[in-house]
Amino acid sequence: MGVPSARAPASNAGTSEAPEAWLAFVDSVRCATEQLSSERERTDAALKRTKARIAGMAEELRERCGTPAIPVGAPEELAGKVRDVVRALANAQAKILTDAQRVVEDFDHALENEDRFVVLVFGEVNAGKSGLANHIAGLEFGLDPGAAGIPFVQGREGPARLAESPVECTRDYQGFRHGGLLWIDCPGVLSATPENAELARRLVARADFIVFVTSSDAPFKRSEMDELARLIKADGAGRLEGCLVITKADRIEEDVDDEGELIRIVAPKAKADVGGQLKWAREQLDEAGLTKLVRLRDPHAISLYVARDALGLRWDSARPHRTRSAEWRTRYESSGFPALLTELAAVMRDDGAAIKALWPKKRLRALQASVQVRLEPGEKHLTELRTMVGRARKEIEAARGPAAERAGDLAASDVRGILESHGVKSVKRFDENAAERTIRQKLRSAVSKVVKEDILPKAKASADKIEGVVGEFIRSAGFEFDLKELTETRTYESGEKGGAYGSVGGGALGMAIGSFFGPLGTFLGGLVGSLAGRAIGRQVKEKRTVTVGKGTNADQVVSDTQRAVRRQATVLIGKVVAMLVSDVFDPLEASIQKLEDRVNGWKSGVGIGPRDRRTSSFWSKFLGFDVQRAVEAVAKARTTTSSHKRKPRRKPSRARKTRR
Amino acid sequence: MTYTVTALGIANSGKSSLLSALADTPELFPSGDVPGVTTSAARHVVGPLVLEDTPGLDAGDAGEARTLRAAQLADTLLWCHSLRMGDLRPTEIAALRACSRNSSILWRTCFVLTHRDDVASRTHVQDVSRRIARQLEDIFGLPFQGDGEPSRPTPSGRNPRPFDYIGSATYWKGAGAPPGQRRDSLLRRSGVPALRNFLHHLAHRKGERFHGRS
Repeated sequence: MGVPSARAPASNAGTSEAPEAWLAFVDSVRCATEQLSSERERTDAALKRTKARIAGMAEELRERCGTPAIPVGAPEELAGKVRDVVRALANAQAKILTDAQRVVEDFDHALENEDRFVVLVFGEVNAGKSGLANHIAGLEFGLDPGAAGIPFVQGREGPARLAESPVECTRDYQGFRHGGLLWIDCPGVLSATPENAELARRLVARADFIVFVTSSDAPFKRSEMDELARLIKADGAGRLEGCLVITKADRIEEDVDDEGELIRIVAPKAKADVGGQLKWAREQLDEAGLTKLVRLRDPHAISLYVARDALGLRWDSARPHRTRSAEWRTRYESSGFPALLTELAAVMRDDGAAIKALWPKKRLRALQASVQVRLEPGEKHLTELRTMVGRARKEIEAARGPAAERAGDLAASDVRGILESHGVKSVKRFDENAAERTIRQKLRSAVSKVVKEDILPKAKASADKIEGVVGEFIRSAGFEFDLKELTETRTYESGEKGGAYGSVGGGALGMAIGSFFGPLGTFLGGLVGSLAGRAIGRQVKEKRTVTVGKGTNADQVVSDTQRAVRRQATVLIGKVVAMLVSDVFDPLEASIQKLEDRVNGWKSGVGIGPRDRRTSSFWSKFLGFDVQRAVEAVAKARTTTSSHKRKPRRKPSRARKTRR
Repeated sequence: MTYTVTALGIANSGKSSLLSALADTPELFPSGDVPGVTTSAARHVVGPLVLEDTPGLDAGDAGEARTLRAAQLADTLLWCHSLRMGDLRPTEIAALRACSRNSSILWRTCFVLTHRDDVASRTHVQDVSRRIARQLEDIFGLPFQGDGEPSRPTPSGRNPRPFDYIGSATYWKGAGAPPGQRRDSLLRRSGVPALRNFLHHLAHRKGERFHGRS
């Protein structure tokens, strides 16, 4: 992509000799172009590699895509949060796929244009961008066609020069191409149409150098700079290079000469004034956060009018006006353009290739940053959800103890009444089957009541869903106490033979024994006696009668029954809580884990954060054992101890673990 | 009885320079290139006029509120806009729309286009002033004249005052020149004496109404 010679014949000091600074600039453009072309193969390879990696990640994402499922049976109050998580992650997923797709397209575009150095110019309307572009393109030096840059408007090669007008509102993209330099003016970012907004985003993603332009008359709006900062942060490929240019840094003065003719003079603005403006502009860029995003080189103050005046051209139309004076070079120097051209030349020559070589890495890092940002809301919701579930679980398990006590109290409070009403005090009429049935019923209803009032609300579950299951469970639960056992009737093997025969005799014996111990004792004694009688022909195991000490009176039976009822209530409540936890919270936590895994998968797919597999295998190798398993073992041991501590105060001998 | 003349406009629109020129005292109202030189309203009594300067419309959040307040209190408003800046900006348009709801404000306003001497050519002045005239017509619904445009009749027979074109730098050049044709030319081109005379005339008329014709 060679650039034809731009030097006019040296003898012609008239209107068509380009300034040295511009010629040097064009030389740099040529060098940079050659350099970029020669490096093309290598950079193409790097680009293709990175592009393939990103495309692969997008493919993987697409496969693992699909809306994560809301776990069934999620408690009502948590369900809202779960929906938030799912929605946030689904959104993030969609956006990440779009981002990845865009990045792949950016890489395609980069592959096509790898040998161009892209300069992006931002500034408001009337900031003087068109004039700046026309001048840097070299369209004002009266050169042979082809020696200067070729302007374009909105993608098509267009007018001979870009339109400059004090009231024109440039909405289109325009610029010029000169060898390997692509200079693009961006219309205001705030007032962009949707198509232009997309183009702006793409250009920012592709830019190698950014020029911020503001006019000396009208300082730029902060809102524009803020919007620009947002754009660069979202799509900029890492930290960009750029510089600040203040245009129209001139003063025009009118005067009337002796003949009464009006004359106009243009001169550059005083350094002090311009210095103040440069400082102000720099502060504005700082406040908008742009200096963190773009590495700014030295700022420049330029005047197109001074430059054109020096070249003997009309200030606004750039048409030839008069021949140049002998000191035209000095005047041109004072316009500030030579300094700007030298800066641009240096950038292209010294850093051009390096800037471009960094681009693929920068783009990947920008993608990583955007993935991180996309996932943030979902991750935040996930963490909150985990905390909520953990808290709910703790609440339920904390409620277990008090609930068990309350159920026990409720059930036990009626035991005395029930037993007495079924005749525990009277020896002959004690209907232990009926009493046991009633007590069982009472226990069931007490447990149900307490579960409904104390436990279910903590599960934050909908009563209908859970109550049915819990109710069924309580209804069908086995009860572990047996009144008959309390009365120790089963310790005797009852032999049928000769049972009735000796019962009377035995009965008398029993009564004699029993009367010693009180009413129930009498009853038991009688029973013992009659059984003894029945077992004539068998040996009476005398020592069994010692165990009659248990429950030798009604009060003892009552208190033992109460204790058993309480124990049973604890067991039941414990089982209900365990059931709730395993039916409600365990699946929920498993789903949360799945979602977290998915999020980590996305991150590691783009290269953010360590891969889980790598971490655990590393530690295993380093420490010599499986960390995961060790952690689980410790956790298990801890829960066993704590559950042991949390049992009710009496230590029932047949206490069973109510935890998983 | 005082006659208050308040200058309004966005930053760097030449308000302070204009008022200093009207007062014929350089830097009476300090001005500068960097936005934000004028930070609060400043007033000076100059002859029959009380000249008041305001910070830029876009300087700080209270800009528009301050504009409306000043607009209600002043006898004459000088709405300043620099010809170097091109057409009216959204901030100015929004403030003007707010003023347009109160019909008396327009008839107390002079639209002053400043930096007339600081532009490339007459064409520039024509292009910009005509564009601004269209923008004002859109806001107020009345015909305005750009430079070189004929005046158009309105149903009520009352037209807004044509723009004042001011060049403060030219004024000082003329004021400092020895008497002669050059001085007269420069002063005339600056537009400042004409505006000053007009304001004195308005102040005089108010005085008559106030005190009764003598």
